[in-house]
Amino acid sequence: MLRSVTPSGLPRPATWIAFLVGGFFLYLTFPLLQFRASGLSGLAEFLGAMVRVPDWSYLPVLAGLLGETIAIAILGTVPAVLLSLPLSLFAARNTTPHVAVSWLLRLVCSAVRAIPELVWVLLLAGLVGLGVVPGVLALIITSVSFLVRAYAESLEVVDPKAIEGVAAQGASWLGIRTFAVLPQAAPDLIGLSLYWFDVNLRMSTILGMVGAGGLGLAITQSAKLFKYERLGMILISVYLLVTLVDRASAIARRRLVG
Amino acid sequence: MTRRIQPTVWWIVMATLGLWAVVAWWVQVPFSDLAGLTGAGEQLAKYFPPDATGFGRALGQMGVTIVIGIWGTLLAFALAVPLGLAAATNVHGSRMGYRLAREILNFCRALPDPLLALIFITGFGIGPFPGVLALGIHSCGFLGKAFAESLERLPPGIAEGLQACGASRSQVIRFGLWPSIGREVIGYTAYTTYRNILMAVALGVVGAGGIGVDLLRALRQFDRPAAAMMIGLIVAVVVLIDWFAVSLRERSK
Repeated sequence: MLRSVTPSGLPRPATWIAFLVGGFFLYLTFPLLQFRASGLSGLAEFLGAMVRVPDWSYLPVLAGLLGETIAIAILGTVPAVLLSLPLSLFAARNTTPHVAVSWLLRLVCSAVRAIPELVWVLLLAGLVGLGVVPGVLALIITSVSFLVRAYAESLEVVDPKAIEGVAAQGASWLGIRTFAVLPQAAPDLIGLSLYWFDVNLRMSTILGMVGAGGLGLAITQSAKLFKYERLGMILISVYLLVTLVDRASAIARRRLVG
Repeated sequence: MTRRIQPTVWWIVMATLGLWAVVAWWVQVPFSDLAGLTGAGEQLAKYFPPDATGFGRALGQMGVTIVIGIWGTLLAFALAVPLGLAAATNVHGSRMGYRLAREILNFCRALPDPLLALIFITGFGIGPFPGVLALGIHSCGFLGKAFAESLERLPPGIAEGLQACGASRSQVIRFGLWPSIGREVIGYTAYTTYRNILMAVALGVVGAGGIGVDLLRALRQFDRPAAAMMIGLIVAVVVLIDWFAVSLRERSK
Protein backbone atom coordinates (compact mmCIF):
# COMPACT_ATOMS: atom_id res chain seq x y z
CA MET A 1 0.00 0.00 0.00
CA LEU A 2 1.22 3.48 -0.76
CA ARG A 3 1.72 5.56 2.31
CA SER A 4 1.56 9.12 1.11
CA VAL A 5 0.17 10.60 4.29
CA THR A 6 2.21 11.08 7.48
CA PRO A 7 0.77 11.30 10.98
CA SER A 8 0.59 15.08 10.70
CA GLY A 9 -1.72 14.71 7.72
CA LEU A 10 0.73 16.23 5.21
CA PRO A 11 2.40 14.21 2.45
CA ARG A 12 5.89 12.84 2.99
CA PRO A 13 8.92 14.96 1.98
CA ALA A 14 9.62 12.59 -0.87
CA THR A 15 6.19 13.33 -2.31
CA TRP A 16 6.79 17.08 -2.00
CA ILE A 17 10.10 16.80 -3.83
CA ALA A 18 8.59 14.61 -6.53
CA PHE A 19 5.84 17.14 -7.10
CA LEU A 20 8.27 20.07 -7.19
CA VAL A 21 10.63 18.39 -9.61
CA GLY A 22 7.72 17.24 -11.73
CA GLY A 23 6.17 20.68 -11.74
CA PHE A 24 9.47 22.27 -12.68
CA PHE A 25 9.89 19.79 -15.52
CA LEU A 26 6.42 20.59 -16.82
CA TYR A 27 7.05 24.33 -16.57
CA LEU A 28 10.30 23.99 -18.52
CA THR A 29 8.88 21.81 -21.24
CA PHE A 30 5.60 23.60 -21.84
CA PRO A 31 7.05 26.07 -24.41
CA LEU A 32 8.20 23.08 -26.45
CA LEU A 33 4.59 22.25 -27.07
CA GLN A 34 3.92 25.46 -29.01
CA PHE A 35 0.44 25.98 -27.68
CA ARG A 36 -1.46 28.63 -29.58
CA ALA A 37 -4.65 29.89 -28.01
CA SER A 38 -5.83 31.06 -31.40
CA GLY A 39 -6.07 27.42 -32.29
CA LEU A 40 -9.11 26.98 -30.10
CA SER A 41 -11.30 29.09 -32.35
CA GLY A 42 -9.83 27.37 -35.39
CA LEU A 43 -10.75 24.04 -33.84
CA ALA A 44 -14.28 25.15 -33.04
CA GLU A 45 -14.71 26.34 -36.61
CA PHE A 46 -13.42 23.05 -37.94
CA LEU A 47 -15.66 20.98 -35.69
CA GLY A 48 -18.62 23.09 -36.76
CA ALA A 49 -17.77 22.48 -40.39
CA MET A 50 -17.87 18.72 -39.81
CA VAL A 51 -21.37 18.76 -38.39
CA ARG A 52 -23.08 19.50 -41.67
CA VAL A 53 -25.59 17.62 -43.74
CA PRO A 54 -23.84 14.39 -44.67
CA ASP A 55 -22.77 13.82 -48.23
CA TRP A 56 -25.01 10.77 -48.80
CA SER A 57 -23.49 10.02 -52.17
CA TYR A 58 -20.29 9.27 -50.34
CA LEU A 59 -21.77 6.37 -48.41
CA PRO A 60 -20.99 3.55 -50.88
CA VAL A 61 -17.36 4.63 -51.12
CA LEU A 62 -17.19 4.85 -47.35
CA ALA A 63 -18.69 1.39 -46.93
CA GLY A 64 -16.15 -0.08 -49.33
CA LEU A 65 -13.28 1.56 -47.46
CA LEU A 66 -14.63 0.31 -44.14
CA GLY A 67 -14.65 -3.20 -45.53
CA GLU A 68 -11.10 -2.82 -46.75
CA THR A 69 -10.05 -1.50 -43.36
CA ILE A 70 -11.55 -4.49 -41.53
CA ALA A 71 -9.94 -6.78 -44.07
CA ILE A 72 -6.50 -5.27 -43.45
CA ALA A 73 -6.93 -5.82 -39.73
CA ILE A 74 -7.93 -9.48 -40.20
CA LEU A 75 -5.23 -10.17 -42.78
CA GLY A 76 -2.66 -8.71 -40.42
CA THR A 77 -3.74 -10.19 -37.11
CA VAL A 78 -4.35 -13.84 -38.06
CA PRO A 79 -0.85 -14.64 -39.37
CA ALA A 80 0.64 -12.71 -36.47
CA VAL A 81 -1.25 -14.82 -33.92
CA LEU A 82 -0.25 -18.06 -35.64
CA LEU A 83 3.40 -17.00 -35.83
CA SER A 84 3.56 -15.67 -32.30
CA LEU A 85 2.33 -18.83 -30.60
CA PRO A 86 5.38 -20.98 -31.34
CA LEU A 87 7.75 -18.02 -30.98
CA SER A 88 6.40 -17.15 -27.57
CA LEU A 89 7.40 -20.62 -26.36
CA PHE A 90 10.98 -19.50 -26.92
CA ALA A 91 10.42 -16.14 -25.28
CA ALA A 92 8.88 -17.36 -22.04
CA ARG A 93 11.48 -18.08 -19.40
CA ASN A 94 9.82 -21.32 -18.28
CA THR A 95 9.48 -22.89 -21.72
CA THR A 96 12.55 -21.63 -23.53
CA PRO A 97 15.51 -23.98 -24.18
CA HIS A 98 17.87 -21.34 -22.79
CA VAL A 99 17.44 -18.08 -20.92
CA ALA A 100 19.69 -16.26 -23.38
CA VAL A 101 17.34 -17.22 -26.22
CA SER A 102 14.44 -15.71 -24.31
CA TRP A 103 16.36 -12.54 -23.52
CA LEU A 104 17.52 -12.07 -27.09
CA LEU A 105 14.10 -12.73 -28.59
CA ARG A 106 12.49 -10.25 -26.23
CA LEU A 107 15.11 -7.64 -27.11
CA VAL A 108 14.51 -8.08 -30.84
CA CYS A 109 10.76 -7.80 -30.30
CA SER A 110 11.24 -4.68 -28.23
CA ALA A 111 13.36 -3.11 -30.96
CA VAL A 112 10.92 -4.01 -33.74
CA ARG A 113 8.02 -2.70 -31.69
CA ALA A 114 9.86 0.59 -31.16
CA ILE A 115 9.26 1.44 -34.80
CA PRO A 116 5.64 2.59 -35.16
CA GLU A 117 3.38 0.89 -37.69
CA LEU A 118 3.20 4.06 -39.77
CA VAL A 119 6.98 4.10 -40.17
CA TRP A 120 6.99 0.40 -41.05
CA VAL A 121 4.49 1.14 -43.82
CA LEU A 122 6.78 3.86 -45.17
CA LEU A 123 9.77 1.52 -45.07
CA LEU A 124 7.92 -1.35 -46.71
CA ALA A 125 6.23 0.79 -49.34
CA GLY A 126 9.65 1.29 -50.90
CA LEU A 127 9.83 -2.48 -51.44
CA VAL A 128 6.31 -3.62 -52.19
CA GLY A 129 4.61 -0.45 -53.33
CA LEU A 130 1.53 1.21 -51.90
CA GLY A 131 -1.81 -0.34 -51.13
CA VAL A 132 -3.01 -3.10 -48.87
CA VAL A 133 0.23 -5.13 -48.86
CA PRO A 134 2.57 -2.83 -46.91
CA GLY A 135 -0.20 -2.17 -44.41
CA VAL A 136 -0.81 -5.86 -43.76
CA LEU A 137 2.91 -6.61 -43.55
CA ALA A 138 3.47 -3.72 -41.15
CA LEU A 139 0.65 -5.03 -38.93
CA ILE A 140 2.06 -8.55 -38.98
CA ILE A 141 5.53 -7.33 -38.01
CA THR A 142 4.41 -5.12 -35.15
CA SER A 143 1.77 -7.57 -33.96
CA VAL A 144 4.23 -10.43 -33.71
CA SER A 145 6.63 -8.26 -31.73
CA PHE A 146 3.87 -7.35 -29.29
CA LEU A 147 2.16 -10.73 -29.07
CA VAL A 148 5.33 -12.76 -28.55
CA ARG A 149 6.13 -10.83 -25.41
CA ALA A 150 2.53 -10.64 -24.23
CA TYR A 151 1.98 -14.39 -24.76
CA ALA A 152 5.30 -15.08 -23.01
CA GLU A 153 4.14 -13.21 -19.93
CA SER A 154 1.00 -15.35 -19.79
CA LEU A 155 2.99 -18.53 -20.28
CA GLU A 156 5.31 -17.63 -17.44
CA VAL A 157 2.54 -17.56 -14.84
CA VAL A 158 1.35 -21.07 -15.62
CA ASP A 159 1.18 -23.47 -12.69
CA PRO A 160 4.49 -25.38 -12.62
CA LYS A 161 2.87 -28.41 -10.96
CA ALA A 162 0.90 -29.16 -14.11
CA ILE A 163 4.13 -29.08 -16.09
CA GLU A 164 5.81 -31.44 -13.66
CA GLY A 165 2.86 -33.79 -13.82
CA VAL A 166 2.93 -34.05 -17.59
CA ALA A 167 6.71 -34.31 -17.66
CA ALA A 168 6.59 -37.14 -15.15
CA GLN A 169 4.56 -39.17 -17.63
CA GLY A 170 7.42 -38.96 -20.10
CA ALA A 171 6.12 -36.26 -22.47
CA SER A 172 8.51 -34.81 -25.03
CA TRP A 173 9.70 -31.20 -25.03
CA LEU A 174 6.91 -30.22 -27.40
CA GLY A 175 4.44 -32.47 -25.65
CA ILE A 176 4.89 -30.71 -22.32
CA ARG A 177 4.25 -27.39 -23.91
CA THR A 178 1.27 -28.52 -25.94
CA PHE A 179 -0.52 -30.40 -23.19
CA ALA A 180 0.41 -28.57 -20.02
CA VAL A 181 1.51 -25.03 -20.72
CA LEU A 182 -0.59 -23.89 -23.68
CA PRO A 183 -3.96 -25.20 -22.45
CA GLN A 184 -3.51 -23.42 -19.14
CA ALA A 185 -2.49 -20.16 -20.75
CA ALA A 186 -5.09 -20.47 -23.51
CA PRO A 187 -7.73 -18.18 -21.92
CA ASP A 188 -5.18 -15.40 -21.49
CA LEU A 189 -3.80 -15.95 -24.98
CA ILE A 190 -7.24 -15.76 -26.53
CA GLY A 191 -8.05 -12.60 -24.58
CA LEU A 192 -4.79 -11.00 -25.67
CA SER A 193 -5.36 -11.91 -29.30
CA LEU A 194 -8.84 -10.45 -29.34
CA TYR A 195 -7.60 -7.31 -27.59
CA TRP A 196 -4.80 -6.92 -30.11
CA PHE A 197 -7.18 -7.41 -33.04
CA ASP A 198 -9.10 -4.46 -31.63
CA VAL A 199 -5.90 -2.37 -31.53
CA ASN A 200 -5.00 -3.44 -35.07
CA LEU A 201 -8.43 -2.45 -36.32
CA ARG A 202 -7.90 1.04 -34.99
CA MET A 203 -4.48 1.10 -36.60
CA SER A 204 -5.88 0.00 -39.95
CA THR A 205 -8.17 2.99 -40.05
CA ILE A 206 -5.21 5.35 -40.19
CA LEU A 207 -2.50 3.35 -41.96
CA GLY A 208 -3.87 4.65 -45.22
CA MET A 209 -2.65 8.11 -44.24
CA VAL A 210 0.78 7.05 -45.43
CA GLY A 211 -0.46 4.96 -48.30
CA ALA A 212 -1.55 1.59 -46.96
CA GLY A 213 -5.14 1.37 -48.14
CA GLY A 214 -8.36 1.56 -46.16
CA LEU A 215 -9.90 4.68 -44.64
CA GLY A 216 -6.65 6.53 -43.96
CA LEU A 217 -6.27 7.90 -47.45
CA ALA A 218 -9.89 9.12 -47.44
CA ILE A 219 -9.20 10.93 -44.19
CA THR A 220 -6.24 12.92 -45.49
CA GLN A 221 -7.94 13.52 -48.82
CA SER A 222 -11.18 14.88 -47.41
CA ALA A 223 -9.19 17.12 -45.09
CA LYS A 224 -7.13 18.47 -47.98
CA LEU A 225 -10.14 18.97 -50.22
CA PHE A 226 -11.97 20.71 -47.35
CA LYS A 227 -14.80 18.21 -47.67
CA TYR A 228 -15.36 18.30 -43.95
CA GLU A 229 -18.79 16.68 -44.00
CA ARG A 230 -17.09 13.58 -45.36
CA LEU A 231 -14.54 13.77 -42.60
CA GLY A 232 -17.35 13.89 -40.09
CA MET A 233 -18.94 10.84 -41.69
CA ILE A 234 -15.62 9.00 -41.61
CA LEU A 235 -15.17 9.85 -37.94
CA ILE A 236 -18.62 8.58 -37.03
CA SER A 237 -18.15 5.39 -39.00
CA VAL A 238 -14.75 4.75 -37.38
CA TYR A 239 -16.29 5.27 -33.96
CA LEU A 240 -19.21 2.95 -34.73
CA LEU A 241 -17.00 0.29 -36.25
CA VAL A 242 -14.51 0.24 -33.40
CA THR A 243 -17.22 0.28 -30.74
CA LEU A 244 -19.11 -2.56 -32.43
CA VAL A 245 -16.04 -4.74 -32.76
CA ASP A 246 -15.02 -3.83 -29.22
CA ARG A 247 -18.35 -5.02 -27.79
CA ALA A 248 -18.31 -8.12 -29.99
CA SER A 249 -14.83 -9.07 -28.88
CA ALA A 250 -15.76 -8.47 -25.23
CA ILE A 251 -18.68 -10.88 -25.63
CA ALA A 252 -16.46 -13.36 -27.47
CA ARG A 253 -13.90 -13.14 -24.71
CA ARG A 254 -16.50 -13.83 -22.05
CA ARG A 255 -17.90 -16.82 -23.94
CA LEU A 256 -14.57 -18.39 -24.83
CA VAL A 257 -12.80 -17.63 -21.62
CA GLY A 258 -15.20 -16.87 -18.80
CA MET B 1 -0.89 -40.74 -23.32
CA THR B 2 -2.62 -39.41 -26.40
CA ARG B 3 -0.51 -37.42 -28.81
CA ARG B 4 -3.44 -36.06 -30.77
CA ILE B 5 -4.40 -32.42 -30.46
CA GLN B 6 -8.09 -31.92 -29.76
CA PRO B 7 -10.09 -31.95 -33.01
CA THR B 8 -11.87 -28.71 -32.03
CA VAL B 9 -8.54 -26.86 -31.98
CA TRP B 10 -7.82 -28.01 -35.54
CA TRP B 11 -11.29 -26.92 -36.64
CA ILE B 12 -10.81 -23.45 -35.19
CA VAL B 13 -7.39 -23.10 -36.78
CA MET B 14 -8.67 -24.28 -40.17
CA ALA B 15 -11.70 -22.00 -39.98
CA THR B 16 -9.54 -19.01 -39.14
CA LEU B 17 -7.16 -19.75 -42.00
CA GLY B 18 -10.15 -20.20 -44.28
CA LEU B 19 -11.51 -16.84 -43.17
CA TRP B 20 -8.14 -15.29 -43.87
CA ALA B 21 -8.05 -16.76 -47.38
CA VAL B 22 -11.57 -15.58 -48.14
CA VAL B 23 -10.80 -12.07 -46.96
CA ALA B 24 -7.57 -11.99 -48.95
CA TRP B 25 -9.43 -13.07 -52.07
CA TRP B 26 -12.29 -10.64 -51.50
CA VAL B 27 -10.00 -7.64 -51.13
CA GLN B 28 -7.93 -8.86 -54.07
CA VAL B 29 -4.62 -8.68 -52.28
CA PRO B 30 -1.95 -8.26 -54.92
CA PHE B 31 0.29 -11.01 -53.63
CA SER B 32 2.63 -10.46 -56.55
CA ASP B 33 3.74 -7.26 -54.86
CA LEU B 34 5.44 -9.40 -52.26
CA ALA B 35 8.08 -10.13 -54.88
CA GLY B 36 9.40 -6.70 -54.04
CA LEU B 37 10.65 -8.11 -50.74
CA THR B 38 13.49 -9.86 -52.55
CA GLY B 39 14.99 -6.45 -53.07
CA ALA B 40 15.16 -5.96 -49.33
CA GLY B 41 18.85 -6.75 -49.04
CA GLU B 42 19.70 -4.27 -51.74
CA GLN B 43 17.50 -1.59 -50.18
CA LEU B 44 18.90 -2.25 -46.75
CA ALA B 45 22.40 -1.53 -48.02
CA LYS B 46 21.29 1.93 -49.05
CA TYR B 47 20.52 2.74 -45.41
CA PHE B 48 24.11 2.18 -44.32
CA PRO B 49 26.25 3.76 -43.11
CA PRO B 50 23.84 5.90 -41.07
CA ASP B 51 24.36 9.61 -41.43
CA ALA B 52 25.43 11.00 -38.07
CA THR B 53 25.57 14.68 -39.06
CA GLY B 54 22.03 15.45 -37.96
CA PHE B 55 22.41 13.59 -34.68
CA GLY B 56 22.32 16.63 -32.43
CA ARG B 57 19.07 17.82 -33.88
CA ALA B 58 17.63 14.31 -33.88
CA LEU B 59 18.47 13.97 -30.20
CA GLY B 60 16.69 17.24 -29.47
CA GLN B 61 13.67 16.18 -31.50
CA MET B 62 13.58 12.85 -29.71
CA GLY B 63 13.50 14.82 -26.49
CA VAL B 64 10.52 16.78 -27.78
CA THR B 65 8.84 13.50 -28.69
CA ILE B 66 9.37 12.16 -25.18
CA VAL B 67 7.99 15.38 -23.74
CA ILE B 68 4.92 15.05 -25.95
CA GLY B 69 4.44 11.52 -24.68
CA ILE B 70 4.79 12.57 -21.04
CA TRP B 71 2.43 15.51 -21.35
CA GLY B 72 -0.06 13.30 -23.16
CA THR B 73 0.06 10.80 -20.33
CA LEU B 74 -0.34 13.61 -17.81
CA LEU B 75 -3.46 14.85 -19.56
CA ALA B 76 -4.76 11.30 -19.80
CA PHE B 77 -4.15 10.74 -16.10
CA ALA B 78 -5.87 13.99 -15.14
CA LEU B 79 -8.90 13.01 -17.20
CA ALA B 80 -8.86 9.36 -16.20
CA VAL B 81 -9.04 9.98 -12.44
CA PRO B 82 -12.50 11.59 -12.37
CA LEU B 83 -13.77 9.49 -15.25
CA GLY B 84 -12.48 6.29 -13.74
CA LEU B 85 -14.11 7.04 -10.42
CA ALA B 86 -17.39 7.88 -12.11
CA ALA B 87 -17.24 4.74 -14.23
CA ALA B 88 -16.73 2.31 -11.36
CA THR B 89 -19.91 0.53 -10.34
CA ASN B 90 -19.00 0.68 -6.67
CA VAL B 91 -17.93 4.31 -6.56
CA HIS B 92 -20.04 6.41 -8.86
CA GLY B 93 -22.39 8.97 -7.45
CA SER B 94 -25.20 8.82 -9.94
CA ARG B 95 -26.48 6.36 -12.50
CA MET B 96 -26.45 9.04 -15.19
CA GLY B 97 -22.90 10.00 -14.35
CA TYR B 98 -21.86 6.36 -14.57
CA ARG B 99 -23.36 5.87 -18.01
CA LEU B 100 -21.95 9.17 -19.23
CA ALA B 101 -18.47 8.39 -17.94
CA ARG B 102 -18.51 4.93 -19.51
CA GLU B 103 -19.61 6.34 -22.86
CA ILE B 104 -16.98 9.08 -22.78
CA LEU B 105 -14.27 6.54 -21.99
CA ASN B 106 -15.40 4.28 -24.82
CA PHE B 107 -15.51 7.19 -27.22
CA CYS B 108 -11.98 8.21 -26.29
CA ARG B 109 -10.68 4.66 -26.70
CA ALA B 110 -12.37 4.20 -30.06
CA LEU B 111 -10.77 7.07 -31.93
CA PRO B 112 -7.17 6.35 -32.97
CA ASP B 113 -4.57 8.92 -31.92
CA PRO B 114 -3.50 9.91 -35.44
CA LEU B 115 -7.10 10.67 -36.36
CA LEU B 116 -7.56 12.90 -33.32
CA ALA B 117 -4.19 14.47 -34.06
CA LEU B 118 -5.27 15.32 -37.59
CA ILE B 119 -8.39 17.04 -36.27
CA PHE B 120 -6.41 19.05 -33.76
CA ILE B 121 -3.76 19.92 -36.33
CA THR B 122 -6.44 21.38 -38.54
CA GLY B 123 -7.45 23.58 -35.65
CA PHE B 124 -4.13 24.37 -33.95
CA GLY B 125 -1.77 24.02 -36.86
CA ILE B 126 1.21 21.71 -37.18
CA GLY B 127 3.24 21.31 -34.02
CA PRO B 128 3.54 19.28 -30.83
CA PHE B 129 0.42 20.55 -29.05
CA PRO B 130 -2.17 18.72 -31.19
CA GLY B 131 -0.19 15.56 -30.51
CA VAL B 132 -0.43 16.08 -26.76
CA LEU B 133 -4.19 16.57 -26.97
CA ALA B 134 -4.64 13.53 -29.19
CA LEU B 135 -2.57 11.30 -26.90
CA GLY B 136 -4.23 12.60 -23.78
CA ILE B 137 -7.74 12.13 -25.01
CA HIS B 138 -7.21 8.71 -26.52
CA SER B 139 -5.21 7.15 -23.70
CA CYS B 140 -7.50 8.49 -20.98
CA GLY B 141 -9.99 6.03 -22.42
CA PHE B 142 -7.75 3.08 -21.67
CA LEU B 143 -6.49 4.47 -18.38
CA GLY B 144 -9.94 5.44 -17.12
CA LYS B 145 -11.35 2.01 -17.89
CA ALA B 146 -8.36 0.36 -16.20
CA PHE B 147 -8.85 2.50 -13.08
CA ALA B 148 -12.57 1.73 -13.01
CA GLU B 149 -11.93 -2.00 -13.28
CA SER B 150 -9.29 -1.83 -10.54
CA LEU B 151 -11.69 0.01 -8.28
CA GLU B 152 -14.44 -2.53 -8.95
CA ARG B 153 -12.12 -5.34 -7.88
CA LEU B 154 -11.67 -3.82 -4.44
CA PRO B 155 -13.37 -5.58 -1.52
CA PRO B 156 -16.18 -3.47 -0.07
CA GLY B 157 -14.66 -3.77 3.40
CA ILE B 158 -12.25 -0.93 2.76
CA ALA B 159 -14.94 1.63 2.09
CA GLU B 160 -17.20 0.28 4.82
CA GLY B 161 -14.42 0.41 7.39
CA LEU B 162 -13.67 4.04 6.70
CA GLN B 163 -17.32 5.00 6.55
CA ALA B 164 -17.81 3.40 9.95
CA CYS B 165 -15.20 5.83 11.28
CA GLY B 166 -17.21 8.71 9.94
CA ALA B 167 -15.20 9.43 6.79
CA SER B 168 -16.85 11.52 4.10
CA ARG B 169 -17.13 10.24 0.53
CA SER B 170 -14.06 12.10 -0.68
CA GLN B 171 -12.06 10.92 2.31
CA VAL B 172 -13.02 7.33 1.61
CA ILE B 173 -11.81 7.74 -1.95
CA ARG B 174 -8.59 9.57 -1.08
CA PHE B 175 -7.47 7.46 1.86
CA GLY B 176 -9.13 4.14 1.25
CA LEU B 177 -9.67 3.41 -2.42
CA TRP B 178 -6.84 5.24 -4.20
CA PRO B 179 -4.00 3.89 -2.04
CA SER B 180 -5.41 0.39 -2.41
CA ILE B 181 -5.18 0.45 -6.18
CA GLY B 182 -1.93 2.45 -6.06
CA ARG B 183 0.24 -0.39 -7.34
CA GLU B 184 -2.02 -1.06 -10.31
CA VAL B 185 -2.22 2.66 -11.06
CA ILE B 186 1.56 2.85 -11.25
CA GLY B 187 1.66 -0.16 -13.56
CA TYR B 188 -1.01 1.15 -15.91
CA THR B 189 0.50 4.64 -15.97
CA ALA B 190 3.96 3.28 -16.72
CA TYR B 191 2.59 1.26 -19.61
CA THR B 192 0.62 4.26 -20.88
CA THR B 193 3.72 6.48 -20.79
CA TYR B 194 5.71 3.95 -22.81
CA ARG B 195 2.85 3.53 -25.27
CA ASN B 196 2.35 7.29 -25.64
CA ILE B 197 6.01 7.94 -26.36
CA LEU B 198 5.84 5.26 -29.02
CA MET B 199 2.71 6.89 -30.44
CA ALA B 200 4.30 10.35 -30.30
CA VAL B 201 6.85 9.14 -32.86
CA ALA B 202 4.00 8.03 -35.13
CA LEU B 203 2.08 11.26 -34.55
CA GLY B 204 5.13 13.19 -35.68
CA VAL B 205 4.79 11.40 -39.02
CA VAL B 206 1.25 12.77 -39.24
CA GLY B 207 2.52 16.25 -38.42
CA ALA B 208 2.29 16.58 -34.65
CA GLY B 209 5.86 17.51 -33.88
CA GLY B 210 8.89 15.63 -32.63
CA ILE B 211 11.25 13.33 -34.45
CA GLY B 212 8.49 11.83 -36.60
CA VAL B 213 8.37 15.01 -38.67
CA ASP B 214 12.08 14.82 -39.47
CA LEU B 215 11.85 11.10 -40.17
CA LEU B 216 9.02 11.57 -42.63
CA ARG B 217 10.96 14.28 -44.41
CA ALA B 218 14.07 12.10 -44.64
CA LEU B 219 12.13 9.15 -46.03
CA ARG B 220 10.20 11.25 -48.51
CA GLN B 221 13.47 12.75 -49.74
CA PHE B 222 15.00 9.25 -49.94
CA ASP B 223 17.74 10.40 -47.57
CA ARG B 224 18.12 6.86 -46.28
CA PRO B 225 21.30 7.21 -44.19
CA ALA B 226 19.71 10.06 -42.22
CA ALA B 227 16.55 8.02 -41.76
CA ALA B 228 18.66 5.09 -40.56
CA MET B 229 20.28 7.29 -37.94
CA MET B 230 16.92 8.52 -36.70
CA ILE B 231 15.40 5.05 -36.61
CA GLY B 232 18.43 3.80 -34.70
CA LEU B 233 18.04 6.58 -32.17
CA ILE B 234 14.31 5.96 -31.79
CA VAL B 235 14.84 2.23 -31.28
CA ALA B 236 17.59 2.76 -28.72
CA VAL B 237 15.59 5.27 -26.69
CA VAL B 238 12.32 3.35 -26.84
CA VAL B 239 13.93 0.03 -25.90
CA LEU B 240 15.45 1.75 -22.87
CA ILE B 241 12.13 3.26 -21.85
CA ASP B 242 10.42 -0.05 -22.47
CA TRP B 243 12.87 -1.87 -20.22
CA PHE B 244 12.36 0.78 -17.57
CA ALA B 245 8.56 0.61 -17.76
CA VAL B 246 8.58 -3.20 -17.66
CA SER B 247 10.79 -3.30 -14.59
CA LEU B 248 8.53 -0.73 -12.95
CA ARG B 249 5.52 -2.89 -13.70
CA GLU B 250 7.19 -6.04 -12.40
CA ARG B 251 8.06 -4.31 -9.17
CA SER B 252 4.55 -2.98 -8.73
CA LYS B 253 2.97 -6.44 -8.99
